[in-house]
Amino acid sequence: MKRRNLLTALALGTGITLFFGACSQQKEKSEKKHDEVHSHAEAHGNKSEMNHENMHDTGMHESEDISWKPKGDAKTALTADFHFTVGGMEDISPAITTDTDGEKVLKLNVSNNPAALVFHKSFSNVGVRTVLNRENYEGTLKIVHHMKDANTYEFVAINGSKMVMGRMINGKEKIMEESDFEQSSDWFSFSVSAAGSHYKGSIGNKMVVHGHDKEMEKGFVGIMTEGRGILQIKQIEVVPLEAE
Amino acid sequence: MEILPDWLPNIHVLLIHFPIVLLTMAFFVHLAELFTKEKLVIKSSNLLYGAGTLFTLITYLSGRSAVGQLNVPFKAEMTLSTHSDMALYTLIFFSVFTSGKILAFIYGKFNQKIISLIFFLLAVIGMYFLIRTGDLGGKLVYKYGVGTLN
Repeated sequence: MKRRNLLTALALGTGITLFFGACSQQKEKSEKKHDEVHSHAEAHGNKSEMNHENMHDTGMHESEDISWKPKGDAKTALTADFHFTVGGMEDISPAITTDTDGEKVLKLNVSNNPAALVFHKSFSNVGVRTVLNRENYEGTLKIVHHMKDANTYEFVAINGSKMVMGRMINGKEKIMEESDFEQSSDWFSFSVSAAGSHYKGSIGNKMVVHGHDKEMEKGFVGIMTEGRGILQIKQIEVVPLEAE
Repeated sequence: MEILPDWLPNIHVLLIHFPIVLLTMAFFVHLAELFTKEKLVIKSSNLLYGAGTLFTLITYLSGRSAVGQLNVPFKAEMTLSTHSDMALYTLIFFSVFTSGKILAFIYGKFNQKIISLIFFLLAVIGMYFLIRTGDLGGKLVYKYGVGTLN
């Protein structure tokens, strides 16, 4: 009797393990198929009215990576791909120049008035990276996301060697996390990710702040200046994050 | 003296095996509990669940520490976020579950067989959280290369 019970238990246990294993395999198969569909999709080149490059466009998916680099006339380039939710063109006086490496650089001559420049498209879960130089800029620079308007958005801000992560809800600021980082006087990447209820701010490859809060409604993504001086930008990358 | 070898990014990678093995063993011993009257089997499953839950806590904390040290590509962020959430659910679930099972064993005046069966059905839910957490952790490493030299 004992032996039979033991065998039954063993059989049941094996059955349950195989069941979970099969479920996991099914999920893997459907994910592989999903990835194959993505890899067959063609990325399309620049549209004449747009000044940004789409890294991939499946035509079967809503998600669309954006890798924006300065090109052509500054005001035309910015008007084509961005709009202002705070301030206006006169607050940033943009120009596109070429640096010593031959790369195009967006130069913003920022006045003291705040200005927020956001892409036309809205995103929910998103990763944003910008390559910039703020050697001659003083004040706060924010990467904003989930932006509804000037009073409601999520942000990660850098000012000097301090990084602050928070959100503005109907004009009220709530700080999630803040920390210091090692400043660079040269070009560096400043990135932010919003994945579900997890939010991160990084300088280069180093995570500086990591906060948690409820997900906000999808909104605009871009940069906000609250300072004065020359801010230089080589690239802004936006990657929509697909739900798991 | 370095405890961790150079090629190992953090201790989380080592620790994850302990809750997986301990909780899985606990689950199978718990299954055997349904078919025997031996109190030793019940005590063994309780001990394994207890040890598994403790290691789940240690592993979860090591994971939180590891996040700040890793270079995670954007495309992996949602997987990482869900992996972290599932790990927390696993921890909370087994903390409550193990406490409840042990207390039911010590103080339960009801039929131990019925208690074992009810807890076993609950354990199936816990195993789902554990497997899903492990599955997502594996995806982070093997699909996105998080924590690897590549």
